[in-house]
Amino acid sequence: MAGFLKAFKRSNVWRLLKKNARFWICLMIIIAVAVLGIVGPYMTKYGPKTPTGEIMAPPSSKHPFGTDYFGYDVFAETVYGIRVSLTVGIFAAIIATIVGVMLGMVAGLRGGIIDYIVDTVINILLAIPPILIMLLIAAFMGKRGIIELGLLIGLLSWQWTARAVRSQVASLKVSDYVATSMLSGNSFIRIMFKDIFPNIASYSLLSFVIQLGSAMLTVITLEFLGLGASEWSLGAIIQLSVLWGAIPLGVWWWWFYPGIIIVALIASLYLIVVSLEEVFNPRLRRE
Amino acid sequence: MAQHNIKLKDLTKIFSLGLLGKKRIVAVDRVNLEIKSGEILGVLGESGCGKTTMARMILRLLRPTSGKIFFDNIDVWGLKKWSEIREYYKNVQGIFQDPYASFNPRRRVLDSLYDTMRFLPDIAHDISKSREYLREILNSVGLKLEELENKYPHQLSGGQLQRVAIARALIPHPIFIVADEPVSMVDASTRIDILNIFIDLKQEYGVSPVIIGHDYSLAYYVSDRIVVLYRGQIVEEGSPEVLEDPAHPYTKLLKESVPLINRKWSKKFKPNIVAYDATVRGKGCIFAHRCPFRKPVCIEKEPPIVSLGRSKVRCWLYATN
Repeated sequence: MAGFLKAFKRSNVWRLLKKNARFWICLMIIIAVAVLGIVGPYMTKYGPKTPTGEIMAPPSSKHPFGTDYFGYDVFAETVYGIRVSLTVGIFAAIIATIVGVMLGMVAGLRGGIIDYIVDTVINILLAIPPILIMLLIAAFMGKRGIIELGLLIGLLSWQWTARAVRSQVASLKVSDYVATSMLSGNSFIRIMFKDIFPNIASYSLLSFVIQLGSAMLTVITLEFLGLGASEWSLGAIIQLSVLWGAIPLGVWWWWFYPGIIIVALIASLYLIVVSLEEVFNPRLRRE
Repeated sequence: MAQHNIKLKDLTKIFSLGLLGKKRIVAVDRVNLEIKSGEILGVLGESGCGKTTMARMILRLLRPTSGKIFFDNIDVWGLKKWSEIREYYKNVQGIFQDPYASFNPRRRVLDSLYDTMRFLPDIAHDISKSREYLREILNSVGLKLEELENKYPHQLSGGQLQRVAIARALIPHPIFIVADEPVSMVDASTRIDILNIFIDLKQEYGVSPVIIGHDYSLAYYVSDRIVVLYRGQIVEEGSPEVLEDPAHPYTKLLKESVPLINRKWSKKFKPNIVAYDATVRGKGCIFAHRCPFRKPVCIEKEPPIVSLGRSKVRCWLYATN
């Protein structure tokens, strides 16, 4: 691992990444949001649904993000909401990446009937908008916790990863060194992990960041539609503020602070993908 | 030593092209061949003649369209169990054209060799024993174990890496090594060294190399028996003396195209190059469109295989009736 880190530091990727200001700014934003989610609940004495006694109070030192129509502290709601939304998003992205990379590798390497089945499932999932299926299933789910929602989103959004991995593996499969590996008597599993996976690892990382961005968006969409993993979440705050007329009432702080965090988070994730693509793909390098 | 053989029976590989697979390229066309242990077989042919396809089919990397491959009367493509396939690879190994492409760029070359060591479980479990074994094998191809320590493929030269590839193939003490253009990507000055390794392998280890290539003089230099391929068919087969005085018009053409040290460029050596569509095959002789001795029958009917004593030729010129 230490050797790998050393090699990475000497590599082109690291040299280019170091200079990429956009990447670092976006990474800082994401880390800041995550830290807010982790540390935030200890910074406020209110729970997400603790009445404060003050209704629609503007931001002040007592309530940094103000209070809402029900008298809840928006800062407390937001930081607890980040916890829930981010956990579901990360969990879903991990599931989607693992399932996508695994199925893509097996399909690309094995070919035949397995490849046919995986490819058909990918095509079906690509043809039907997954958000529709998610809405349907989420609406009828008995228990909608963090794990259940994460699984639902993760298991319905691996198709792009699987497709990309499958085609890359299929081209690696016919390479001479995989042939050499077969001649060396290596088993299917060993070839998969020793020869194929290291060559798609960088793509898998990139794919995880893409998956994280889209999973976050999906999570917040579901929460906004009232199908979130918890009573409090980023999407749920926005939903309540819309339902209870925050805009006509002029209670802008109710939706503005959680909204800006959602936008910053998803935009940063997207821009990180763009930066990483620039670094990994020599044709997009700007030098 | 016991005799072993690889038999190709009507081996055919057809690649389909185009949207509906209407266009077909016949890469290997009903090849019948027996490869015997104890000799170096040279397979000679121009690019696109199906030599690599043939090698990959023998190495069980590409499924034939039809026909069979037998190793000691075992149908190679009928093997199902992993242990049986491993057993086959223990006896039949391969070397590829591009040494840099045949090693995983992200693994140390010695790791790839240690992988192959697992064919020999009694040695592989003992680190010092397997190091000794590797050192011996590497010595036989002119390399030192210490030179390769912690090296990645790109840190070695093409010639070194091709020697490592030969060493890798040698580890399980196979009966056959199928070498697909083993010297074409190697620096000209080290070619003879590598070919000499193959000759040594035959004499010291009893390994029978099958050397596939396009180089006329190298094939003559190294082989005990020669097979000339053209567009997927064997057109001539025999001892290397065949190359001194070839019988088939294609082999003659190949011989004339070899640049020689005492022959300068002149107008006399006009290359007889005819562009042809690989997807179109007539019913006659496959070489008819380029053949200077073409007769009407060559376009009409496929030539028979004629035995000329020292060689077998697929040509109408030598057919008696």
